[in-house]
Amino acid sequence: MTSPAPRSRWRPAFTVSMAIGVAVAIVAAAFAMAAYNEHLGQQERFRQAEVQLRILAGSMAAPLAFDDRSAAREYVGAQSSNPDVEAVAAYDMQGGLAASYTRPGTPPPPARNVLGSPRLEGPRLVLTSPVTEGDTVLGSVYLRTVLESPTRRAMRYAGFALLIVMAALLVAVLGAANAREAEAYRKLRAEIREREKAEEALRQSQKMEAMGQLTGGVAHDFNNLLMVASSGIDLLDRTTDPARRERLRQGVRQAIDRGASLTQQLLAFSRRTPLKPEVVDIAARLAGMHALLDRSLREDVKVEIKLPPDLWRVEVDASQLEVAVLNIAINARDAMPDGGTITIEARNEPSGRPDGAGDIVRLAIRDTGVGVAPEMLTRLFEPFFTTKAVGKGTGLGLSQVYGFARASGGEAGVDSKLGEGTTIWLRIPRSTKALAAEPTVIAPRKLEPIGRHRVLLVEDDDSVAQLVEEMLRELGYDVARTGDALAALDVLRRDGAFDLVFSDMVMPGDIGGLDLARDISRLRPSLPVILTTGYSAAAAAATNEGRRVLIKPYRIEALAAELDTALSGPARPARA
Amino acid sequence: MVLGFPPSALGSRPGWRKWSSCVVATALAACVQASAAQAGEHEPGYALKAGYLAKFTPFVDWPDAAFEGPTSPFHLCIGGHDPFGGAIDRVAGGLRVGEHPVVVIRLSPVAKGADCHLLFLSASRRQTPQQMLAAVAGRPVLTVADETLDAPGAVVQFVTLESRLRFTIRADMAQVAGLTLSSKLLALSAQPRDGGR
Repeated sequence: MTSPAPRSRWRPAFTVSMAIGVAVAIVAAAFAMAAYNEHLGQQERFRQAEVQLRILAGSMAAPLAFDDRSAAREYVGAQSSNPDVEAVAAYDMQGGLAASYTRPGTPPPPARNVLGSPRLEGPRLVLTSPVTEGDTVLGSVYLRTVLESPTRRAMRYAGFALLIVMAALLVAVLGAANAREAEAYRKLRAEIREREKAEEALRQSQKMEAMGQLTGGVAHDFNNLLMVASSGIDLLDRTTDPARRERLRQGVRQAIDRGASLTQQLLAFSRRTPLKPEVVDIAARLAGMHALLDRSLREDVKVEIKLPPDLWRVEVDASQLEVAVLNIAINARDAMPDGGTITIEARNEPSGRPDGAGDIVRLAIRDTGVGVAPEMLTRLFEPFFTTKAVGKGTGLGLSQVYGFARASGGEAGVDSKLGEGTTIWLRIPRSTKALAAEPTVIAPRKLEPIGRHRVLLVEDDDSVAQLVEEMLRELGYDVARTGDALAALDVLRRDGAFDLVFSDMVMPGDIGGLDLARDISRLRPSLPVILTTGYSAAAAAATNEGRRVLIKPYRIEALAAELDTALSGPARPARA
Repeated sequence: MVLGFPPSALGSRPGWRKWSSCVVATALAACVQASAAQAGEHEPGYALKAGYLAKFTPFVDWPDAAFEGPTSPFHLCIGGHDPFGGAIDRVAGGLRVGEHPVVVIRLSPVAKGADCHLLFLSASRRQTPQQMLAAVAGRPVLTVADETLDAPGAVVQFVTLESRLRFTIRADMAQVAGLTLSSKLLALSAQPRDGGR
């Protein structure tokens, strides 16, 4: 009820008619004031005239009494100095005219005295008064005065009226303008709302289109991979030639690896892949990629790597870096249908500051391909944006590059000219940390048990569980399996002789793998737990808590290494 | 109608008997003169003068001590020959000075200490104007001298200027008599007008 929203929405609906109403009200008020002023002024002038008349009556007493015409004329004439006075007259006791003054051009006073109450004759005020001395009436006087000449009144009010009318006009015009503006604003907002709706709808449809394109591409890729895997397994059953079986196995393995990398790209695009930043020597990594690149590209595409010997280190997810370079290289390859050269360069870009903050390593991958049209440049990093035919690309490659650069605290950009090739560059902040230990190459380990360890496997998917159980047994572990977290806790309460819990994260039931790990940490802090998932959001949550997470799909070697580390390391591994 | 004292004047005077013999005597004398004048009505110009006498009263303040009571009569005395005839009685009839009804008294001669508020000095064979003035000297009496008289001691002196009846006022005499004259009246005085205006 007290939310501020309704109050902020309230705005006075000031309409044009209201503005005009206000203006009219101003004029009406001004006129009312003027009329009142005029009334007051008239009363004031009336009083003044009365005073004048009384003075005249007083002074006329003796001249009228003693018929002193010259004195009477003198007194009457003195009134003419007031320009408002039109006529003055004094009458003797018999009512005869004793003395008078008439302003030229105005009617003369009456010839006989006309005593009466003050009266208005048009713009003129007529006053009469008896002349008395003591109780003796000696005559009367008559005074006709102009209250105010119309021209003088007009002059007096003209300026005032002009100001008021101008003010009213101003109010009306401004108010009307304001009202119109408010109306326009309201319309604009309505239109913006409509447009936002339309844009939202458009975005939705674009997304759907993109989804169609993506699923088309992904399904195509996956179908190919599944074809390879399926046919490989079929052929494995029909041949006994060891060399051929090895080739077939290799093929199936490659197909599965490509499938895994495809899903990794999807996840990278959604930026939910938990990045595992480490200090990386780009030169060493790129040198290690040479062979991979050669395999991924065609024979008519030449790769040149030009790196300065003193290239700074950066802190990135090494595998993502490799994927990014690979993605750029594949794009470059596709941009060069007739072959060409891909040049991978890197250089240090010092910021010039003494503490080294702002130092950047710039990695650029240049091709000699067809280039990108300027209007396409801005969309190049957009997810699902692809210039390739359906099934030829997912539109996720460069999006992964962009996501990787941003997630690493850097940026990505593209320079291109049609027909002259394209340069895609990454600018990644320099890291001054020590180089991480050389990535240990997981050698196909001789699978010898170091003593029988018991592992509790928690996995709801039967087929996955079956294979993982197989892998664990292959690695020399004793395995017990439960289908959900609650059952696992039950088992652990009944049987304390497990050395490790290997649990899926997303499972049916109230508690998932992460909750299970937390419960176990409370129940048995010394019991190591390894979580596994193919769902990146869950993996990120677990990684944030410092849990060990093995991302699906994983190979048996990775599983072995993870188990070894967990069993040999501290019970509660430090935060990753 | 013209002669004698109005009943009201007689009734309202407590000290009447003390003065009665004298007043009756003077009244009788005046009667004789008046009857002669009445036969030929008033002399020319005296109707106007009678009006003036009446009109002087609003412009003059008599001290309260001049009257015996708040409604006691105002004595308009005519000293010497009465030139007004019935004109003065017509003017005085119904005339009041404040609350005081006006009573016309004809005095010939003007006795010492005559009880007058306004004394018109007219020509007299029995008294000089000075004698008449001396009779009321020191009392609050507005003395008005006829234009033919040489009476420098009178407060008001009728004069004819440019064939119009005017008057001069001697403010110092009024002061001596203990009267207050309105400045309006003073403004009409022919003398100061000729002199300084």
